[in-house]
Amino acid sequence: MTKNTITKSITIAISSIALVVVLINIQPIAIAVVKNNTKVKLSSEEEEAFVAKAGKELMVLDKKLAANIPQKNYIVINSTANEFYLYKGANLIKKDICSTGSYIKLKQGEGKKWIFKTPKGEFKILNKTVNPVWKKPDWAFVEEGLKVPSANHSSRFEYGVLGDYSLSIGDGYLLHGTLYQRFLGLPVTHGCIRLNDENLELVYKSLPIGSKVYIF
Amino acid sequence: MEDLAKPKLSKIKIILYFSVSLVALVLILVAIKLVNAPIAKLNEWEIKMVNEHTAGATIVQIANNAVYDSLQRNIALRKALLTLVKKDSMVLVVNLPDSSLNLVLNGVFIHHVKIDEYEIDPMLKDLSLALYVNQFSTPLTITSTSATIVKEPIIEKEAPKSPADLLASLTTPDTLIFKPAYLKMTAENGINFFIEQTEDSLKEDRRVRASFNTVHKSERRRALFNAIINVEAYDYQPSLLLKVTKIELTAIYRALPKETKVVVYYR
Repeated sequence: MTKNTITKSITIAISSIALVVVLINIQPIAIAVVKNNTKVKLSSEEEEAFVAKAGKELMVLDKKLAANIPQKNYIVINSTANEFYLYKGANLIKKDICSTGSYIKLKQGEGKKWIFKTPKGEFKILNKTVNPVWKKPDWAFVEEGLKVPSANHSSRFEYGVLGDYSLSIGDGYLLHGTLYQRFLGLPVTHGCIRLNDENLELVYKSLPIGSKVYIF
Repeated sequence: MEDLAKPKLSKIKIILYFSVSLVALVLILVAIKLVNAPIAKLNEWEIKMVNEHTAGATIVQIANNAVYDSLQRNIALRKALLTLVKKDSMVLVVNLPDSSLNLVLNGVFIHHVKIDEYEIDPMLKDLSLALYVNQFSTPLTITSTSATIVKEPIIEKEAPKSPADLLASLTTPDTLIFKPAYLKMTAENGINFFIEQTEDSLKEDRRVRASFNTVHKSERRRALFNAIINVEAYDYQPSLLLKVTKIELTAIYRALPKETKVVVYYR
Protein backbone atom coordinates (compact mmCIF):
# COMPACT_ATOMS: atom_id res chain seq x y z
CA MET A 1 0.00 0.00 0.00
CA THR A 2 1.34 3.42 -0.90
CA LYS A 3 1.48 6.30 1.52
CA ASN A 4 -1.18 8.03 -0.57
CA THR A 5 -3.61 5.13 -0.24
CA ILE A 6 -3.12 4.97 3.53
CA THR A 7 -3.79 8.72 3.83
CA LYS A 8 -6.93 8.36 1.71
CA SER A 9 -8.20 5.44 3.80
CA ILE A 10 -7.62 7.32 7.05
CA THR A 11 -9.39 10.40 5.67
CA ILE A 12 -12.40 8.33 4.56
CA ALA A 13 -12.56 6.52 7.91
CA ILE A 14 -12.38 9.76 9.92
CA SER A 15 -14.96 11.42 7.67
CA SER A 16 -17.32 8.47 8.06
CA ILE A 17 -17.00 8.49 11.85
CA ALA A 18 -17.53 12.26 11.91
CA LEU A 19 -20.61 11.88 9.71
CA VAL A 20 -22.07 9.21 11.99
CA VAL A 21 -21.38 11.35 15.09
CA VAL A 22 -23.03 14.35 13.45
CA LEU A 23 -26.03 12.25 12.36
CA ILE A 24 -26.51 10.85 15.87
CA ASN A 25 -26.41 14.30 17.43
CA ILE A 26 -28.03 16.18 14.60
CA GLN A 27 -31.37 16.70 16.32
CA PRO A 28 -29.99 18.13 19.58
CA ILE A 29 -27.71 20.36 17.48
CA ALA A 30 -30.66 21.57 15.41
CA ILE A 31 -32.72 22.22 18.55
CA ALA A 32 -29.88 24.18 20.15
CA VAL A 33 -29.51 26.27 17.00
CA VAL A 34 -33.18 27.13 16.52
CA LYS A 35 -34.33 27.49 20.13
CA ASN A 36 -36.33 30.64 20.29
CA ASN A 37 -36.13 32.07 23.74
CA THR A 38 -37.07 35.62 22.93
CA LYS A 39 -36.80 37.22 26.32
CA VAL A 40 -37.44 40.80 27.26
CA LYS A 41 -35.24 42.89 29.46
CA LEU A 42 -37.30 44.77 32.03
CA SER A 43 -36.45 47.31 34.67
CA SER A 44 -36.08 45.85 38.17
CA GLU A 45 -39.38 47.47 39.28
CA GLU A 46 -41.25 45.95 36.36
CA GLU A 47 -39.65 42.57 37.05
CA GLU A 48 -40.63 42.75 40.72
CA ALA A 49 -44.20 43.60 39.75
CA PHE A 50 -44.40 40.57 37.46
CA VAL A 51 -42.89 38.29 40.10
CA ALA A 52 -45.27 39.60 42.78
CA LYS A 53 -48.28 39.10 40.50
CA ALA A 54 -47.19 35.52 39.69
CA GLY A 55 -46.56 34.85 43.39
CA LYS A 56 -50.10 35.98 44.27
CA GLU A 57 -51.60 33.83 41.53
CA LEU A 58 -49.66 30.82 42.81
CA MET A 59 -50.95 31.36 46.35
CA VAL A 60 -54.55 31.47 45.16
CA LEU A 61 -54.07 28.26 43.18
CA ASP A 62 -52.38 26.55 46.14
CA LYS A 63 -55.35 27.39 48.36
CA LYS A 64 -57.74 25.92 45.81
CA LEU A 65 -55.68 22.72 45.63
CA ALA A 66 -55.38 22.42 49.41
CA ALA A 67 -59.17 22.41 49.62
CA ASN A 68 -59.17 18.97 47.97
CA ILE A 69 -57.20 17.23 50.71
CA PRO A 70 -59.72 15.29 52.81
CA GLN A 71 -60.21 16.85 56.22
CA LYS A 72 -61.16 13.56 57.85
CA ASN A 73 -58.79 10.60 58.11
CA TYR A 74 -58.63 8.52 54.97
CA ILE A 75 -57.11 5.29 53.74
CA VAL A 76 -55.36 4.41 50.51
CA ILE A 77 -55.16 0.80 49.33
CA ASN A 78 -52.46 -0.33 46.91
CA SER A 79 -53.95 -3.46 45.36
CA THR A 80 -50.76 -4.30 43.45
CA ALA A 81 -48.34 -4.19 46.37
CA ASN A 82 -51.09 -5.27 48.80
CA GLU A 83 -50.39 -2.43 51.17
CA PHE A 84 -52.49 0.20 52.87
CA TYR A 85 -51.64 3.74 53.92
CA LEU A 86 -53.70 5.42 56.63
CA TYR A 87 -53.62 9.23 56.60
CA LYS A 88 -54.62 11.93 59.02
CA GLY A 89 -54.88 15.01 56.79
CA ALA A 90 -51.65 15.03 54.84
CA ASN A 91 -49.77 12.91 57.42
CA LEU A 92 -49.22 9.19 57.03
CA ILE A 93 -50.04 7.54 60.33
CA LYS A 94 -49.76 3.87 59.37
CA LYS A 95 -48.45 1.82 56.47
CA ASP A 96 -48.65 -1.96 56.47
CA ILE A 97 -49.61 -5.01 54.41
CA CYS A 98 -53.13 -6.08 53.58
CA SER A 99 -54.67 -8.52 51.12
CA THR A 100 -56.73 -7.63 48.09
CA GLY A 101 -58.49 -9.36 45.19
CA SER A 102 -56.88 -12.43 43.61
CA TYR A 103 -57.96 -11.63 40.03
CA ILE A 104 -59.30 -15.17 39.77
CA LYS A 105 -62.08 -15.51 37.24
CA LEU A 106 -64.27 -18.33 38.49
CA LYS A 107 -66.40 -19.97 35.82
CA GLN A 108 -69.26 -22.33 36.40
CA GLY A 109 -70.04 -24.01 33.09
CA GLU A 110 -70.98 -21.64 30.29
CA GLY A 111 -73.33 -19.45 32.27
CA LYS A 112 -72.01 -17.98 35.50
CA LYS A 113 -68.73 -16.26 36.18
CA TRP A 114 -67.24 -14.10 38.91
CA ILE A 115 -64.04 -12.01 38.91
CA PHE A 116 -62.47 -11.60 42.32
CA LYS A 117 -60.87 -8.20 42.03
CA THR A 118 -60.83 -5.22 44.33
CA PRO A 119 -62.58 -2.25 42.72
CA LYS A 120 -60.45 0.83 42.04
CA GLY A 121 -61.34 4.46 42.59
CA GLU A 122 -62.71 6.68 45.34
CA PHE A 123 -65.11 5.20 47.88
CA LYS A 124 -66.57 6.14 51.25
CA ILE A 125 -67.05 4.20 54.44
CA LEU A 126 -70.79 3.61 54.33
CA ASN A 127 -71.23 1.40 57.35
CA LYS A 128 -69.26 0.03 60.29
CA THR A 129 -69.98 -3.19 62.16
CA VAL A 130 -68.63 -4.79 65.31
CA ASN A 131 -68.43 -8.62 65.32
CA PRO A 132 -69.65 -8.88 61.73
CA VAL A 133 -71.32 -12.02 60.44
CA TRP A 134 -70.45 -13.12 56.94
CA LYS A 135 -73.41 -14.00 54.76
CA LYS A 136 -71.78 -16.21 52.18
CA PRO A 137 -72.68 -15.28 48.64
CA ASP A 138 -73.27 -17.89 45.88
CA TRP A 139 -69.66 -17.91 44.69
CA ALA A 140 -68.44 -19.03 48.12
CA PHE A 141 -70.33 -22.30 47.60
CA VAL A 142 -69.53 -22.60 43.91
CA GLU A 143 -65.78 -22.27 44.46
CA GLU A 144 -65.90 -25.08 47.02
CA GLY A 145 -67.85 -27.36 44.73
CA LEU A 146 -70.91 -27.18 46.96
CA LYS A 147 -74.56 -26.82 46.04
CA VAL A 148 -75.81 -23.22 46.39
CA PRO A 149 -78.38 -23.09 49.23
CA SER A 150 -81.46 -20.85 49.40
CA ALA A 151 -80.99 -17.12 50.08
CA ASN A 152 -81.32 -17.26 53.89
CA HIS A 153 -80.23 -20.82 54.56
CA SER A 154 -78.35 -21.23 57.85
CA SER A 155 -75.24 -22.51 56.01
CA ARG A 156 -74.80 -19.05 54.52
CA PHE A 157 -74.00 -17.44 57.88
CA GLU A 158 -70.50 -17.69 59.27
CA TYR A 159 -69.44 -16.17 62.56
CA GLY A 160 -65.98 -14.85 63.45
CA VAL A 161 -64.38 -15.23 60.00
CA LEU A 162 -64.33 -11.47 59.27
CA GLY A 163 -62.54 -10.50 62.49
CA ASP A 164 -63.81 -8.13 65.14
CA TYR A 165 -64.85 -5.32 62.82
CA SER A 166 -65.90 -4.62 59.26
CA LEU A 167 -66.21 -1.40 57.31
CA SER A 168 -68.36 -1.39 54.19
CA ILE A 169 -67.51 0.61 51.07
CA GLY A 170 -70.57 -0.54 49.12
CA ASP A 171 -71.53 -3.31 46.67
CA GLY A 172 -70.60 -5.96 49.23
CA TYR A 173 -66.97 -4.88 49.47
CA LEU A 174 -65.60 -4.68 53.01
CA LEU A 175 -62.47 -3.89 54.94
CA HIS A 176 -62.33 -6.73 57.43
CA GLY A 177 -60.12 -9.13 59.38
CA THR A 178 -59.10 -12.67 58.53
CA LEU A 179 -58.39 -16.09 59.95
CA TYR A 180 -55.68 -16.59 57.31
CA GLN A 181 -53.07 -14.14 58.63
CA ARG A 182 -50.27 -15.92 56.75
CA PHE A 183 -51.75 -14.78 53.44
CA LEU A 184 -51.64 -11.09 54.35
CA GLY A 185 -49.61 -9.18 51.77
CA LEU A 186 -50.79 -11.49 48.99
CA PRO A 187 -53.62 -11.03 46.50
CA VAL A 188 -55.93 -13.76 47.78
CA THR A 189 -59.32 -12.20 48.54
CA HIS A 190 -62.57 -12.15 46.62
CA GLY A 191 -62.40 -8.37 46.32
CA CYS A 192 -62.55 -7.31 49.96
CA ILE A 193 -59.59 -5.83 51.79
CA ARG A 194 -58.23 -7.95 54.61
CA LEU A 195 -56.20 -6.51 57.48
CA ASN A 196 -54.60 -8.05 60.52
CA ASP A 197 -56.38 -7.67 63.87
CA GLU A 198 -54.29 -4.75 65.11
CA ASN A 199 -54.57 -2.76 61.89
CA LEU A 200 -58.27 -3.53 61.62
CA GLU A 201 -58.87 -2.03 65.03
CA LEU A 202 -56.80 1.04 64.18
CA VAL A 203 -58.64 1.54 60.89
CA TYR A 204 -62.01 0.98 62.54
CA LYS A 205 -61.25 3.58 65.20
CA SER A 206 -59.62 6.07 62.79
CA LEU A 207 -62.19 6.12 60.01
CA PRO A 208 -65.64 7.45 60.82
CA ILE A 209 -68.52 6.83 58.46
CA GLY A 210 -68.08 9.01 55.38
CA SER A 211 -64.26 8.76 55.39
CA LYS A 212 -62.68 8.41 51.99
CA VAL A 213 -61.17 5.15 50.77
CA TYR A 214 -58.93 5.41 47.71
CA ILE A 215 -58.07 2.17 45.96
CA PHE A 216 -55.59 1.83 43.11
CA MET B 1 -3.77 -8.83 -20.10
CA GLU B 2 -3.40 -5.31 -18.75
CA ASP B 3 -5.48 -3.86 -21.57
CA LEU B 4 -8.34 -6.23 -20.80
CA ALA B 5 -8.28 -5.50 -17.06
CA LYS B 6 -8.44 -1.72 -17.37
CA PRO B 7 -12.08 -1.31 -18.54
CA LYS B 8 -13.21 -3.83 -15.87
CA LEU B 9 -11.58 -1.75 -13.16
CA SER B 10 -13.19 1.46 -14.34
CA LYS B 11 -16.59 -0.26 -14.31
CA ILE B 12 -16.04 -1.23 -10.70
CA LYS B 13 -15.04 2.33 -9.98
CA ILE B 14 -18.23 3.65 -11.56
CA ILE B 15 -20.35 1.26 -9.51
CA LEU B 16 -18.38 2.22 -6.41
CA TYR B 17 -18.83 5.95 -7.03
CA PHE B 18 -22.50 5.43 -7.79
CA SER B 19 -23.01 3.44 -4.56
CA VAL B 20 -21.13 5.99 -2.49
CA SER B 21 -23.15 8.82 -4.05
CA LEU B 22 -26.38 6.94 -3.35
CA VAL B 23 -25.43 6.32 0.27
CA ALA B 24 -24.39 9.96 0.62
CA LEU B 25 -27.70 11.09 -0.89
CA VAL B 26 -29.68 8.89 1.49
CA LEU B 27 -27.62 10.16 4.45
CA ILE B 28 -28.20 13.76 3.37
CA LEU B 29 -31.94 13.13 3.07
CA VAL B 30 -31.99 11.45 6.48
CA ALA B 31 -30.05 14.36 7.96
CA ILE B 32 -32.45 16.89 6.44
CA LYS B 33 -35.49 15.01 7.76
CA LEU B 34 -33.94 14.63 11.21
CA VAL B 35 -32.99 18.32 11.39
CA ASN B 36 -36.37 19.49 10.16
CA ALA B 37 -38.41 17.30 12.49
CA PRO B 38 -37.83 19.09 15.85
CA ILE B 39 -37.95 22.49 14.14
CA ALA B 40 -41.31 21.60 12.59
CA LYS B 41 -42.59 20.34 15.95
CA LEU B 42 -41.59 23.58 17.69
CA ASN B 43 -43.26 25.59 14.91
CA GLU B 44 -46.40 23.49 15.21
CA TRP B 45 -46.60 24.16 18.96
CA GLU B 46 -45.92 27.87 18.46
CA ILE B 47 -48.56 28.24 15.75
CA LYS B 48 -51.09 26.44 17.96
CA MET B 49 -50.27 28.73 20.87
CA VAL B 50 -50.49 31.95 18.86
CA ASN B 51 -53.52 31.07 16.72
CA GLU B 52 -55.62 29.60 19.49
CA HIS B 53 -54.56 32.20 22.06
CA THR B 54 -54.06 29.36 24.51
CA ALA B 55 -52.14 29.56 27.78
CA GLY B 56 -48.64 30.87 27.33
CA ALA B 57 -49.48 33.20 24.44
CA THR B 58 -49.51 36.17 26.78
CA ILE B 59 -46.62 35.12 29.01
CA VAL B 60 -43.90 37.72 29.34
CA GLN B 61 -40.56 35.95 29.10
CA ILE B 62 -38.28 37.91 31.38
CA ALA B 63 -34.59 37.45 30.69
CA ASN B 64 -32.49 35.87 33.46
CA ASN B 65 -35.19 35.77 36.11
CA ALA B 66 -35.18 32.25 37.54
CA VAL B 67 -37.76 33.13 40.24
CA TYR B 68 -40.32 34.32 37.71
CA ASP B 69 -39.63 31.31 35.49
CA SER B 70 -40.10 28.93 38.40
CA LEU B 71 -43.31 30.68 39.51
CA GLN B 72 -44.82 30.40 36.04
CA ARG B 73 -43.96 26.71 35.83
CA ASN B 74 -45.52 26.14 39.26
CA ILE B 75 -48.64 28.03 38.19
CA ALA B 76 -48.87 25.83 35.09
CA LEU B 77 -48.67 22.71 37.31
CA ARG B 78 -51.39 23.97 39.67
CA LYS B 79 -53.66 24.91 36.77
CA ALA B 80 -53.25 21.45 35.25
CA LEU B 81 -54.00 19.81 38.62
CA LEU B 82 -57.07 21.96 39.20
CA THR B 83 -58.64 20.85 35.93
CA LEU B 84 -58.50 17.28 37.26
CA VAL B 85 -60.30 17.87 40.55
CA LYS B 86 -63.72 16.64 39.49
CA LYS B 87 -62.70 14.19 36.80
CA ASP B 88 -63.17 11.01 38.88
CA SER B 89 -60.35 9.31 37.06
CA MET B 90 -56.82 8.39 38.05
CA VAL B 91 -54.11 10.56 36.48
CA LEU B 92 -50.35 10.52 36.54
CA VAL B 93 -48.34 13.53 37.68
CA VAL B 94 -44.68 13.63 36.65
CA ASN B 95 -42.77 15.93 38.96
CA LEU B 96 -39.11 16.01 37.91
CA PRO B 97 -37.80 18.56 40.46
CA ASP B 98 -39.19 16.26 43.19
CA SER B 99 -38.10 13.13 41.30
CA SER B 100 -41.55 11.74 41.83
CA LEU B 101 -44.35 10.07 39.94
CA ASN B 102 -47.71 10.57 41.58
CA LEU B 103 -51.13 9.05 41.23
CA VAL B 104 -53.85 11.65 41.67
CA LEU B 105 -57.53 10.91 42.06
CA ASN B 106 -60.07 13.73 42.18
CA GLY B 107 -57.35 16.20 43.06
CA VAL B 108 -55.91 14.10 45.90
CA PHE B 109 -52.38 12.76 45.69
CA ILE B 110 -52.89 9.15 46.72
CA HIS B 111 -49.55 7.63 45.83
CA HIS B 112 -46.04 8.88 45.50
CA VAL B 113 -43.27 6.97 43.73
CA LYS B 114 -39.60 7.93 43.65
CA ILE B 115 -38.09 8.32 40.19
CA ASP B 116 -34.67 6.66 40.30
CA GLU B 117 -33.43 8.13 37.03
CA TYR B 118 -34.76 10.25 34.21
CA GLU B 119 -33.78 11.59 30.81
CA ILE B 120 -35.51 14.53 29.26
CA ASP B 121 -35.55 15.27 25.55
CA PRO B 122 -33.33 18.23 24.50
CA MET B 123 -36.32 19.85 22.83
CA LEU B 124 -38.34 19.79 26.05
CA LYS B 125 -35.34 20.88 28.08
CA ASP B 126 -34.82 23.96 25.91
CA LEU B 127 -38.50 24.86 25.53
CA SER B 128 -39.25 28.54 25.92
CA LEU B 129 -41.30 29.54 28.97
CA ALA B 130 -44.27 30.52 26.80
CA LEU B 131 -44.33 27.15 25.05
CA TYR B 132 -43.79 25.34 28.35
CA VAL B 133 -46.81 27.08 29.89
CA ASN B 134 -48.81 26.45 26.74
CA GLN B 135 -48.07 22.73 26.68
CA PHE B 136 -48.15 21.90 30.36
CA SER B 137 -50.78 24.10 32.02
CA THR B 138 -53.35 21.50 30.99
CA PRO B 139 -53.06 17.74 31.43
CA LEU B 140 -51.85 15.82 28.39
CA THR B 141 -54.25 13.21 27.05
CA ILE B 142 -52.65 9.85 26.38
CA THR B 143 -53.69 8.55 22.98
CA SER B 144 -51.87 5.24 22.92
CA THR B 145 -50.21 2.95 25.41
CA SER B 146 -48.14 -0.18 25.12
CA ALA B 147 -46.59 -2.25 27.88
CA THR B 148 -44.90 -5.54 28.60
CA ILE B 149 -47.32 -6.27 31.44
CA VAL B 150 -51.08 -6.77 31.55
CA LYS B 151 -53.57 -4.40 33.12
CA GLU B 152 -55.42 -7.13 34.95
CA PRO B 153 -53.60 -10.38 35.75
CA ILE B 154 -56.74 -12.51 35.45
CA ILE B 155 -56.38 -16.21 36.28
CA GLU B 156 -59.22 -18.29 34.82
CA LYS B 157 -60.46 -21.14 36.97
CA GLU B 158 -63.25 -23.63 36.39
CA ALA B 159 -65.48 -24.17 39.43
CA PRO B 160 -64.95 -27.59 41.04
CA LYS B 161 -67.90 -29.95 40.68
CA SER B 162 -67.54 -31.32 44.22
CA PRO B 163 -65.50 -30.70 47.39
CA ALA B 164 -63.24 -33.57 46.28
CA ASP B 165 -62.60 -31.74 43.00
CA LEU B 166 -61.68 -28.63 44.98
CA LEU B 167 -58.82 -30.41 46.75
CA ALA B 168 -57.45 -31.49 43.40
CA SER B 169 -57.69 -28.01 41.88
CA LEU B 170 -56.26 -25.93 44.74
CA THR B 171 -54.05 -23.16 43.43
CA THR B 172 -51.34 -21.42 45.36
CA PRO B 173 -52.00 -17.73 45.84
CA ASP B 174 -50.39 -15.32 43.40
CA THR B 175 -47.08 -13.99 44.65
CA LEU B 176 -45.53 -10.57 44.58
CA ILE B 177 -43.06 -11.59 41.89
CA PHE B 178 -43.71 -9.28 39.00
CA LYS B 179 -42.91 -9.63 35.33
CA PRO B 180 -40.48 -7.24 33.59
CA ALA B 181 -42.30 -3.93 33.29
CA TYR B 182 -41.73 -1.42 30.48
CA LEU B 183 -44.34 1.09 29.50
CA LYS B 184 -44.73 3.60 26.70
CA MET B 185 -47.47 6.22 26.63
CA THR B 186 -47.88 8.66 23.76
CA ALA B 187 -49.57 11.97 24.44
CA GLU B 188 -51.73 13.87 21.97
CA ASN B 189 -49.00 16.49 21.46
CA GLY B 190 -46.54 13.78 20.41
CA ILE B 191 -44.56 13.39 23.63
CA ASN B 192 -43.56 9.80 24.37
CA PHE B 193 -43.36 8.80 28.02
CA PHE B 194 -41.15 5.78 28.51
CA ILE B 195 -41.46 4.42 32.02
CA GLU B 196 -39.04 1.61 32.73
CA GLN B 197 -38.24 -0.55 35.72
CA THR B 198 -34.97 0.33 37.38
CA GLU B 199 -33.99 -3.29 37.96
CA ASP B 200 -31.91 -4.69 35.12
CA SER B 201 -29.68 -7.28 36.77
CA LEU B 202 -31.61 -10.21 35.31
CA LYS B 203 -31.01 -11.37 31.76
CA GLU B 204 -34.78 -11.75 31.27
CA ASP B 205 -35.35 -8.09 32.23
CA ARG B 206 -32.73 -6.91 29.72
CA ARG B 207 -34.14 -9.16 27.00
CA VAL B 208 -37.68 -7.84 27.50
CA ARG B 209 -36.43 -4.23 27.52
CA ALA B 210 -34.43 -4.75 24.33
CA SER B 211 -37.35 -6.31 22.50
CA PHE B 212 -39.77 -3.62 23.78
CA ASN B 213 -37.44 -0.82 22.66
CA THR B 214 -36.84 -2.50 19.31
CA VAL B 215 -40.53 -2.21 18.49
CA HIS B 216 -40.45 1.55 19.10
CA LYS B 217 -37.19 2.06 17.22
CA SER B 218 -38.48 0.07 14.24
CA GLU B 219 -41.63 2.19 14.17
CA ARG B 220 -39.55 5.38 14.15
CA ARG B 221 -37.24 4.03 11.43
CA ARG B 222 -40.26 3.06 9.33
CA ALA B 223 -41.74 6.53 9.83
CA LEU B 224 -38.45 8.13 8.75
CA PHE B 225 -38.20 5.86 5.71
CA ASN B 226 -41.81 6.61 4.71
CA ALA B 227 -41.19 10.33 5.15
CA ILE B 228 -38.23 10.13 2.75
CA ILE B 229 -40.02 7.96 0.19
CA ASN B 230 -43.28 9.94 0.25
CA VAL B 231 -41.53 13.33 0.56
CA GLU B 232 -43.46 14.05 3.75
CA ALA B 233 -42.46 15.66 7.02
CA TYR B 234 -40.99 13.33 9.63
CA ASP B 235 -42.88 13.75 12.88
CA TYR B 236 -40.60 14.44 15.82
CA GLN B 237 -41.66 12.79 19.06
CA PRO B 238 -39.95 14.30 22.09
CA SER B 239 -39.47 11.75 24.81
CA LEU B 240 -39.22 11.55 28.56
CA LEU B 241 -37.62 8.46 30.06
CA LEU B 242 -38.41 7.67 33.68
CA LYS B 243 -37.13 4.79 35.78
CA VAL B 244 -38.95 3.49 38.84
CA THR B 245 -38.97 0.15 40.63
CA LYS B 246 -40.75 -2.74 38.94
CA ILE B 247 -43.46 -3.10 41.57
CA GLU B 248 -44.24 0.63 41.53
CA LEU B 249 -44.41 0.69 37.75
CA THR B 250 -46.76 -2.29 37.80
CA ALA B 251 -48.96 -0.55 40.38
CA ILE B 252 -49.03 2.66 38.33
CA TYR B 253 -49.87 0.87 35.09
CA ARG B 254 -52.66 -1.14 36.71
CA ALA B 255 -54.07 1.96 38.41
CA LEU B 256 -54.27 4.15 35.33
CA PRO B 257 -57.31 3.88 33.09
CA LYS B 258 -56.78 3.20 29.38
CA GLU B 259 -57.50 6.78 28.36
CA THR B 260 -55.58 8.58 31.01
CA LYS B 261 -54.04 12.00 31.43
CA VAL B 262 -50.57 13.02 32.45
CA VAL B 263 -49.51 16.26 34.13
CA VAL B 264 -45.87 17.22 33.63
CA TYR B 265 -43.75 19.57 35.69
CA TYR B 266 -40.06 20.25 35.23
CA ARG B 267 -37.63 23.15 35.47
